[in-house]
Amino acid sequence: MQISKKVILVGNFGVGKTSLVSRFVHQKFSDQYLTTIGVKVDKKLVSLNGSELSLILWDIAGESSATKIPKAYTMGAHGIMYVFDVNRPETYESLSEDIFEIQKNLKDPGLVVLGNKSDLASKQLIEKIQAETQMDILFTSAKTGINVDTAFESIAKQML
Amino acid sequence: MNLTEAKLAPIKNRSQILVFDEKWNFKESCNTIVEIDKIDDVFQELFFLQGYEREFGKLGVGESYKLYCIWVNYFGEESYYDFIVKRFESDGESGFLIINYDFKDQYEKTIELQQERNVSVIERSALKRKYDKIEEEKILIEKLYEENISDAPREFVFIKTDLMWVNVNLNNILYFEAYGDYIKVHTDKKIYVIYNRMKNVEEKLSSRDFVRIHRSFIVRIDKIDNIDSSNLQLGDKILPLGNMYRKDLLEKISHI
Repeated sequence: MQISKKVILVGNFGVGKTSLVSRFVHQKFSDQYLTTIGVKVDKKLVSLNGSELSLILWDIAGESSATKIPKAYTMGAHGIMYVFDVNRPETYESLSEDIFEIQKNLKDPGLVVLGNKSDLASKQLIEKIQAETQMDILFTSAKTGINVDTAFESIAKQML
Repeated sequence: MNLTEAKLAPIKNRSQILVFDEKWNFKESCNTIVEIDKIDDVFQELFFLQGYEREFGKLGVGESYKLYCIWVNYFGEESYYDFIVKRFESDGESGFLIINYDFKDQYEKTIELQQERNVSVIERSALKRKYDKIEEEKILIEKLYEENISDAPREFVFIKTDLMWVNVNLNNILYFEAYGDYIKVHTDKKIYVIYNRMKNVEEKLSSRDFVRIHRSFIVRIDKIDNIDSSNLQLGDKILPLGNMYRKDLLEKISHI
């Protein structure tokens, strides 16, 4: 039996949301930056515990604050992937507030927080972010592919 | 134009792209800028597609279909725009539609500005990362430099005589000689008498440059001319070498 779940990727612009989707769905990565306009939707089938889960990935154009995201894009989402760039503090300074803003209109959504571009960060920086944010963060790199599959599997498990 | 070219087109030529399989089931989208009317798991229920699937399905490769007055609310404003739906060649097993909006120059400029803003912030962040790294290295180098400077012996010392402090170059000192409660500082030009103890003076001098050779003498190592079993010579002066200081002296001088 196939189940469809809507997952939204949110976070500041240029943090690598589109690249994460591209890595997960198409196993591709490009250094070229093209700003996402509006929303980009991709679909990927994931097999989990004998079920086929169809992940409808809504890659939403990055904004500096979650309050600027059109409600229509987030409504009805079953899972949230909040992405930030470990090398740009302004992309995780309002982490809790942003996540709260998105979660408040959704019914018990799954959540993963991703610290992307971890290939460009030192171990000390990652430890510092972990300590500062006090959140469960998965550190990913769309460039190297590290933890990308794990991130999508994690959100898929939470939504089942 | 193939799908990849359409996706990576320059921003002013970028269009909305919808990819369907042979049965017109939705596969993926890029640059979706129209307001979504109904929220559901099924992507095809986008407002602009509702009721038009049949028309789109009839499109042959290269054919286009013109629609009027689509509701767009991307920037929080309500506007009507014309757009043309065109079916392009199949890309592998999938077909794809490119929807060209007639957004006029104003919209294109907004998108261009958005791209430029994002790129500039990302580039500034990368530059800051490089700058921070250089700054870190600079601080480390300065710290190491300071440590080395503080470790390096000073080349001068102030000696307190009866009336004043006199700056004496350490290179000019030949030796220190105990003189009751005083010490005679023998330089190459003059002898100064200071009130101090040999132990205090010894502690303040660089052990690399000076060595205690007797309870009454500390000599500058590079001024020593020769050493025998119980004496050493500095210019025309013969100074006694104490047995307990001999080993320390020999360890400090380079010899073959």
